Amino acid sequence: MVWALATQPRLNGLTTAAADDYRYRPDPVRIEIMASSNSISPSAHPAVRMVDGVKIYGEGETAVRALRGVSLSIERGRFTAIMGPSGSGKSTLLHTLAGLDTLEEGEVFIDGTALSTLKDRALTILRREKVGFVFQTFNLIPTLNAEENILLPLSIAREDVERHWFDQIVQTVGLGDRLSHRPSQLSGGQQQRVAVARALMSRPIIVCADEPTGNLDSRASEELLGFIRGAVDEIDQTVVMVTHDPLVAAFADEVVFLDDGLITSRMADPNADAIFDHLKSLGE
Amino acid sequence: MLRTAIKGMWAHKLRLTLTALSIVLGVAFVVGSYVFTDTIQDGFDKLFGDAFAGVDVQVEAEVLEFAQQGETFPSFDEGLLDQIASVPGVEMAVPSVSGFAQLLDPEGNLLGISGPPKFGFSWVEDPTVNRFSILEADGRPPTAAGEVAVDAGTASRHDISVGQEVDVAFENGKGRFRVVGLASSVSQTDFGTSSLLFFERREAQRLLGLEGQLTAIILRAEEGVSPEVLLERVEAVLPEGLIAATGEQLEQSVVEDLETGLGFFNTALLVFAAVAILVGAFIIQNTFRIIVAQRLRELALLRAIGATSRQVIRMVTTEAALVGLVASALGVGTGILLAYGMREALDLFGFSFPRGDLVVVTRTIVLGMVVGMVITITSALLPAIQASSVPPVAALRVGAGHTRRASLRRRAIIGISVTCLGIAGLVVGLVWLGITWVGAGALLLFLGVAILAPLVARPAGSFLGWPFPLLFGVPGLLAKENTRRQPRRTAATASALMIGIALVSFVAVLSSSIRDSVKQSLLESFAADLTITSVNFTTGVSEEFVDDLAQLDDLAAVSSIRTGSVRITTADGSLEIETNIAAVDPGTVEQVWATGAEPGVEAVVEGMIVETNQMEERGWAVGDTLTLEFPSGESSELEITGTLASPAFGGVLISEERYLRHYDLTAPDVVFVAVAEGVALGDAQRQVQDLAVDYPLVQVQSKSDFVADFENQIDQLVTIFNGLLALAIVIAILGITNTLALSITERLREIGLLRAVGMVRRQVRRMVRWEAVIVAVFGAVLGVLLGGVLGWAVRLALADDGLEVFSLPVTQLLIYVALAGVAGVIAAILPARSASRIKILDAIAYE
Repeated sequence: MVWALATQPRLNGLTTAAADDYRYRPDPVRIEIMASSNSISPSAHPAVRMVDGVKIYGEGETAVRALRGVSLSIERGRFTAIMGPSGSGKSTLLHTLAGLDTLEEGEVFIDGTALSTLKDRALTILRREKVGFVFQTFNLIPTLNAEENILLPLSIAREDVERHWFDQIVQTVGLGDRLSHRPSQLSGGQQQRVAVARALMSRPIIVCADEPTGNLDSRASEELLGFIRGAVDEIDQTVVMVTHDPLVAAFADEVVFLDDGLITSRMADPNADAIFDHLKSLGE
Repeated sequence: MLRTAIKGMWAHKLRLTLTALSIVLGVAFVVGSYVFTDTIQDGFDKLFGDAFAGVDVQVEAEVLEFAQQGETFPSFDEGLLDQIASVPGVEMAVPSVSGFAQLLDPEGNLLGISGPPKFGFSWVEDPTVNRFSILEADGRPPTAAGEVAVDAGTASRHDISVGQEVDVAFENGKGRFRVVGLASSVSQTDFGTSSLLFFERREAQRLLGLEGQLTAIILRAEEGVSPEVLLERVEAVLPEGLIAATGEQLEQSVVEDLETGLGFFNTALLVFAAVAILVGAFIIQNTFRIIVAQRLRELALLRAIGATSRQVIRMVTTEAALVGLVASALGVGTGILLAYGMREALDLFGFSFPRGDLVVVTRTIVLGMVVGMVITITSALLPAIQASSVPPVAALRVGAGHTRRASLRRRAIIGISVTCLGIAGLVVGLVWLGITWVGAGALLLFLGVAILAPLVARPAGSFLGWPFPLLFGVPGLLAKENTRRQPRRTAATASALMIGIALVSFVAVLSSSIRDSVKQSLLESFAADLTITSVNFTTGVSEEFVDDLAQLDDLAAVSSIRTGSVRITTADGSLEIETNIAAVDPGTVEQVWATGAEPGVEAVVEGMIVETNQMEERGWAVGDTLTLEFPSGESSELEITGTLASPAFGGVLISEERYLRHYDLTAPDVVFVAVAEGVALGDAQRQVQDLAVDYPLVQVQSKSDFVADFENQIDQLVTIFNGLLALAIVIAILGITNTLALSITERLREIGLLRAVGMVRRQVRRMVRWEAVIVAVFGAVLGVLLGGVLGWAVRLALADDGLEVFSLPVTQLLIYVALAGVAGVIAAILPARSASRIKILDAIAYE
């Protein structure tokens, strides 16, 4: 809940009573430690960059061009939302940016590394080290408890756990007393918080979130977005998120609008009303 | 519903293929057993079909039913020939002798494996009663000493041609002969690995040790006299101890004997087939249960749109029936191939059977189909009933969360009851009622443990899986947790393997106990330095050789043991048993065998001595008088004059002198030799072996040779059992593969997530592999425990019959567990590969 402080001003678009819950005031010292312990090195590269990305599903006459030449840079420390109607290619864009899917043409660079040059193993390791994931549902391994799920990418890599960092993330997302619980014993919101904690744990270059609040009620949504926003603000975590909900997109620093496989427009410092109006104008 | 069932099947074709495979293999075993034994039977039928073609009536010495094989060549005085020939209606009376004769290779080794009979016959000159003939191109019949005719099949197998000299071994020595002809049977039958040698009659009598004796007189009736009429006339003049039969009767009795023998063999094979099918049934049931669980929503939807629960049951069972039909048909085909392969493989190892086409009768095909279908449908019935109880609302719920769990208590109660029933069956069978009850008890025990296994699957997964997270990190941890996830599934998969492993463990425990018990008694009570036996089971040790041995100065004692069948009746007629007795020479036996007889082995001179346990069991006491009936038809009343500690050789001893009076075949079964003091064992053995050069059938072994030979025989037996049980284990391994494949389709999203957050393919493969290993080892541990308990119980029941030592082959059992682990690795290869190759996006894509 530490980062909730920073999200306060942006709650204007949300019409719920949840805002009243953000009563917690963070311990400033803790924030400082967190910020300083975050070691993303300054680099000339954008976190992730796509150049002329083309993605085709199927073959021949039934082929669908999900991306038709998309170029996009995700700058470090920014929270970008991708929006668009169903079938616009927004999920495909996220998946290709994250290295979960490959392009037919064009290239994706994560932290300067061209993904098309990597074989499966190298790509997997790159994902493990540089990309964090939050999906809409089924984010957690049901046989592992919350702590094991948070540490999963590190355990897979057999890397040592920075206990200190772990404790801070856990305390921040408010899971301290739930660590030994299995996913089936957690609420939907708690499960997604575990997923966010896992995504942050390995200090990735980028966190890719695909409709992370899609299955949550509005109060849990706000909490979760609060944590994500906080991570961006406090530790310069780069985040890309796909959503169809203007209220959710309003938490981002920038919204990228996608339609029919192409980027149609971008909106900086969005708020829900502006996004809503923009979507409406697109629809006309 | 049929169409829905077919569509459902097609949608799950991959998983059903593996299920079908377990049915295919089980059915193939059944069909293969039948085709194989039918084919052998057919070959032998053809072989014997014309054996008595020209025989109207044959006269032989009488052999009582209970006589053993080695006693089947009793002879009678040839003076009888004239008497029989003068019976009115006899056109021709042909004297015949037969006995053991085997070819030797140039190095003096016996040609052909021991087992299939090797006969020497007198050549019958009259072609009308001789089923063998020698074509002009193949030489001529033997007419003088030093000549032999060889059956054509054997000749071609060993490259023997006319004019060549061959050595032939007989019970009493060997000789060199010139091959003068190759004899073919009228029907051109090949005799497999049996060999037939023909000699001139007088020569045959001499060679076979039957001077002045015959083993049969073959009669041909005059025209107008039927064999039956002739039989009556011959029987009227036949002295006691001889019998006559028509050719037809003889043929029938030979064929019946064969059928009994092959029937026994077939039953033995079918027992192993049944084990394979039982394992298959476990797997089929498990597969259908998983498939039903995965299709719960689909089934619930069918219920919601109006299908009755009966229709759902019918749909699932129809699906099973279709799988069963296809798999059984494939199984029948595979079984026929299996029988063919089995015959060819045995041929390769020297076990040739009479050649002929494979015999596939309708009964075999029908049986194979019925077994396959019935097993598949009954195995699917329980899952089908479960499926039908799915409430329609389940269709509306997200996820396949609905599995109605029978309460643990109920499972425990049922499992413990079945297990107890099994134990009761075992005890009853072992103590009173025999092997069928033991089998039924073991079956129930397996079922009971299989029912209880899910209760221990979780702790077992933790316990057996604990090293994996430490050794292999996250893949190991997930493997361990995955085995704990669905205890019923894990337990069912492991139980299938448990059955096979339990049986091989049982064989291991029992064989090791037999080995150690026999070794102990050999080492404790047999003081003999050298043991002399015959290389085959047909002949005894040549008496001439034993006489030669007695001349050697370096031997302290040469003591023969002869065994024979006998029928014992108590004085009041209340008990009649057919058993084995042994004859010993009371003067020398204690020097080679510490019999532990009370008051002393000399007691055999006055009567008989009987082993203590047998006395107790049968309610006999020293001083009782019993009637002994010998195979020759003679009988004798004997008093029990002493007791015996060891059950060796059947546990009933009489004196050598008495034995020689009542038995026709007098060659000893075993000759024990004690070396004189101060003589090196090696020297004595060399002397004895030098003497044995002239007796190719004699085998000389030191005590350690003898023990090693015995152990070797046990090992061979164990190998055969394990070979037959291997199929059950292979099927169980297929079951592991199947369960894993099904589980993986269930865990697609989870694996996709793992891949997304950074698990490389190799780690995914490891995760699947170690899961398989834990399940396999779980099954193996259960199996080894069960097999050990079974072995312990059977050993205990047989303790009085000489199994005094219980020996647990720990290393062997640990090797089985380790091999099960390896089998798990193999079982996981395909599922692991498919798990590692799933497309991440497909897996994590939303519904």
